Amino acid sequence: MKISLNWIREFVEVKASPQEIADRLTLAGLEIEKVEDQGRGLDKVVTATILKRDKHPNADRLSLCEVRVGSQIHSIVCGADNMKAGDRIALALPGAVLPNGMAIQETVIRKVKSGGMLCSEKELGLKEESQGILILSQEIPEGLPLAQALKLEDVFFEVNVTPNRGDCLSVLGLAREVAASFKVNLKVPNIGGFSKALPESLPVKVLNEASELCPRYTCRILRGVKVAPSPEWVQRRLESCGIRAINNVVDATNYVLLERGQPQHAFDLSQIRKSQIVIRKAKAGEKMKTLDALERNLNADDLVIADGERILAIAGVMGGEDSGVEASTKDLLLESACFAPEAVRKTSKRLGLQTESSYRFERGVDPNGCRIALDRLAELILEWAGGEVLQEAADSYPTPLKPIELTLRSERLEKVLGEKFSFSQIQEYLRPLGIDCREGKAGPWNCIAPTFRPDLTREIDLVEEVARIHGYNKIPTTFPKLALDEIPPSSEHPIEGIYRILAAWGFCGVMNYSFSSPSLLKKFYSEIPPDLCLMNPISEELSVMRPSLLPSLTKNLRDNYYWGNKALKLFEIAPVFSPGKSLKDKRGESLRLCLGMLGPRRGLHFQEKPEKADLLDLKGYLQAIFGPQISFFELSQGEKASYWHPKRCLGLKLDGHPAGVLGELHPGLAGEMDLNDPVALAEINLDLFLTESKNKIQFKDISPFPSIERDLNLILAEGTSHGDVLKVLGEMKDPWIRKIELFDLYRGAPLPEGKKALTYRIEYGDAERTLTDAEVNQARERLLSLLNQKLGATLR
Amino acid sequence: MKDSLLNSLEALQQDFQNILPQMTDEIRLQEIKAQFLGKKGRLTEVLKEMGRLSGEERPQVGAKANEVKNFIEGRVDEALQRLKSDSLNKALSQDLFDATLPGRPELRGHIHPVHQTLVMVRNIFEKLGFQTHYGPEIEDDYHNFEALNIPVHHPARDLQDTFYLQGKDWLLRTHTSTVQIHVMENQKPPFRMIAPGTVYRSDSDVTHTPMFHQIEGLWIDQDTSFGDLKGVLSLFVKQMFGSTIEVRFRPSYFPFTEPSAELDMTCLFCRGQAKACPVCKSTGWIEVLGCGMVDPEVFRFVKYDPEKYSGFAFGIGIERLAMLKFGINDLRKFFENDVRFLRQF
Repeated sequence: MKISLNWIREFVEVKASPQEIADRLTLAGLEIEKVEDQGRGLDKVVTATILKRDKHPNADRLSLCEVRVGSQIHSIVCGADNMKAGDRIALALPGAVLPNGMAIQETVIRKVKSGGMLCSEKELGLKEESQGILILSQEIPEGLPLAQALKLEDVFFEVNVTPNRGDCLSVLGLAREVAASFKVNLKVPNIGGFSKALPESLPVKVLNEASELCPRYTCRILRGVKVAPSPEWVQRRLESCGIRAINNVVDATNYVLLERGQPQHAFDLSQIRKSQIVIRKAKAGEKMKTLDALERNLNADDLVIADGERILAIAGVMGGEDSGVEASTKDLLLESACFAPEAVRKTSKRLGLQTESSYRFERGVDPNGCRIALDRLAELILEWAGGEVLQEAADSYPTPLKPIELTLRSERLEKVLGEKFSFSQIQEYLRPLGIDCREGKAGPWNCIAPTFRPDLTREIDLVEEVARIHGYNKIPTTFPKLALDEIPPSSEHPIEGIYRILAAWGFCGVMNYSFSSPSLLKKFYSEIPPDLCLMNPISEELSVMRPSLLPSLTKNLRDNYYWGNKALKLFEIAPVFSPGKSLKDKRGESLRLCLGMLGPRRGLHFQEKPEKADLLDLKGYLQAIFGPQISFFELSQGEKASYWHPKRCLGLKLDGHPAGVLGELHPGLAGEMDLNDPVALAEINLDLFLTESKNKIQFKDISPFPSIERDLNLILAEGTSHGDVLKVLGEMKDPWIRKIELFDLYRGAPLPEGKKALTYRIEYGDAERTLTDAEVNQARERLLSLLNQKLGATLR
Repeated sequence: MKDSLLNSLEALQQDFQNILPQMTDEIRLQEIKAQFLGKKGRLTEVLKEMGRLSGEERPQVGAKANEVKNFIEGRVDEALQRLKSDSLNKALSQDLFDATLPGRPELRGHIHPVHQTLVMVRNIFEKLGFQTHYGPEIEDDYHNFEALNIPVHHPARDLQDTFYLQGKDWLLRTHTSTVQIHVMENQKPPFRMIAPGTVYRSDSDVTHTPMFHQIEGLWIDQDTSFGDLKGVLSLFVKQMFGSTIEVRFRPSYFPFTEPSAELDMTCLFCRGQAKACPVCKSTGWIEVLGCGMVDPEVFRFVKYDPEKYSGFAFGIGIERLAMLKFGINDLRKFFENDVRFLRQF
């Protein structure tokens, strides 16, 4: 909210500088985000009078004006067209630097000297947009600095008001905070007491049919007003606070809204039918046209202000087009009411219509302030638009709100804040906030919270007020006691180990949004489960909770490839989301590790042949990370997702449980993404790893007896895989086998077509003794014959 | 006789010494060694004469002969060593290897800066006796709002624009404060916990991403005060950014704490000078975290006695800390995953 400091100063007298006031407010919890000096850049801008306007001798579209400032006459070239002799205008003299940065100097325009510039409101920083130069009222004297003439010596605060402090969405509320912060008194002017009120009785009847949603409704009638623009200073004050000036009546409602935080509405009395104001819930399907000319569909939860026939306004949100104030309006019905925050909020949310009014009602408006604000409004309209006020006012207030009595215990205060406070301190802090404090006999202090502070309902709320006004930074900084035996066991972070290992191997950790784009997911999945779709995504691109890390990591590889980055090794550890029933049980979240490689497997050294990363690189990394916990298996046709290369893809298990897949992206899909190199990817579910891997390390003694190595150079059919060989070797269950290592794969002459050679080195050993050559040879023979029998393997 | 032998030995040594500097290769050196010390060498010749010496004279001549022998052997060994190393040095000096060629490149990986920052923050709090907990990212309204004293239709809900899953039964948590509730539901005080994690808010512009990271913290005991909150959180800031950093506490509003505060620290960029600093908007202070004393209403939801226990809670935005720590100027860079960015950390 943007608010005028001069306006605040009408209610509180402080000598401090704007910056000091801003700092105090910030440290009292009303954060001033910006301090803006309105007069900045207007030092050498003065009010002046145009004596004569002639055409520029050398340019059709320019004028040459003779402009008077006191005894001095200036000759000014001007491009605008809205001025005439006799007009009072704003003249920027040489040396001025306007708020938009424009430096004014004496110039020659088309061979004619110009000694300054006639300014527009935009150039003066008074409005966002304006047409022509600013023509001032004749009442403004000539020769004054413009800032003084327009009362522009103001400073504006941009205040960040937290949702609990609806009372501070007003000049008065902020003035009260300033008063409390500087320990001075608030000046509250007298209002009302209309001396010349019309004795006529109220011509409308107020029927409050929804008092649970409208605790108070007050209204007054004004007759014979003259709708016209407001006084200039009012328009400026409102515009500077970000509210558009419209006419003296509407401006008055907005003025009171800003001054007192009480939203109000002015109806054209002649538009109220059947002499009734009815506060009621809308009927389902009822419609109305609001002031912004949009048709609104209402339902039975919406509170409306109606007359005997139709809806006049959506209560607390916006008035209707039909009953608004127009130039021809003579008689007014002024509304100043209190509506339930929840009701206003529901309607405003549903209609997507947030107004200055709804914003304040949502945050709570004091029903006990309605009547004063109503009188203030009447007072301002009488002053600005003339007319007469009716003596009688309507006031529906079935259950007046009483201030809450709260107790504040000194021990509690000390326990929460860690500092002791005396009663006189409490009084000093709370009284300026409107909280009345009394010292009970030896008991707790009694405090009465004002009704304009609906946020003060409990003892703790008072504790906060004391701390706030005392100053958080004055409360002594202490350190809590912590017994050594209260220190929890050191937390295990098994995932950290994986991060560090992968980083050491050259993998970069990426971080993707958990929501993904359907178009990317559709490259991998034929269907996107509706359970994973957000109801209110930021955009289509970020609308589905990702069921796998693979698509986004593939995209990261692709993006980097196109940014010209080479030798890509990426990883991500993040949860994925699975749909269906599990969403409700385990919320369908599971932690995954995803690895991806694209392009050369390491940085290229000159003269070396680039080798492209493939599935086996990732397999090696995974084996090194997970050690004996990990195993691999071939997936059946049905288990293979279509996005994998049909031949280059393996299932993997952790501790015997299926936990993921590694492979290369299907070249067709890779091609669709403009990737021509193999894209090696793996995704592993870490949930099991996290729950089962703890304390897994168990030392095994190292055998003192040496290993004996034997080589097996096998000729096998092409269709037989290394995995098949390992399986057979596994079936042997030979306790002497310590290690099996493949060290050569050969195809070509002299092997016949359809055959290949695999050479293994097998390490034999025993924990109890040294094996003899004969024993090992026999073991090798047994192996060979089994391989021959099962796989048709022969020795090369 | 004795004297003549001694003279011969003397001469022999002298001859050897004269000839030695000429020995420039190993073969010649071995030949010379044989010539002087070999079976038919000059020393042997001299020693043959020893038989003619008296018993008294023999040891004298023998000692001299030994001395000469050791002298020659020593010099020969020295010369051999020198020749070997000379020839090695010569060979090495002819090596054409160019050590200024580029090294064989090895990739160094990098942990994402947000993750690194998360770990730094977590380590500081674990050192202070906080235990790490994790919670789900898909939440229900109760844990994300209601139990944290944010009722439906309360304007405080506007502070956190929420993503909902289809059906609106589930939402994406808007803060890690949810984990406070999960932990308090399952644990009795006193305790100290932190909860790092991913959170989501429907907000996307230059200073907001719809997903970001937080660390939540909670300290509950019988006499924990606002002074303690100030102590622990000031300590954290100093551990994270250095002991010269100043902090200040500013009243704020969070529905689940009261009193609530924002912690500001000295601007790292202008060092609090506040002159035309774009980072702190010339205020000299940067907002670091939100905190406060746990609201008694929250204790009521988890059935703790608010009269007996008090505590403080805090929430730290990790991306913001990472930006300050590493001088990153654009929040969105964290999520682009360009390795030219990632490889800097």
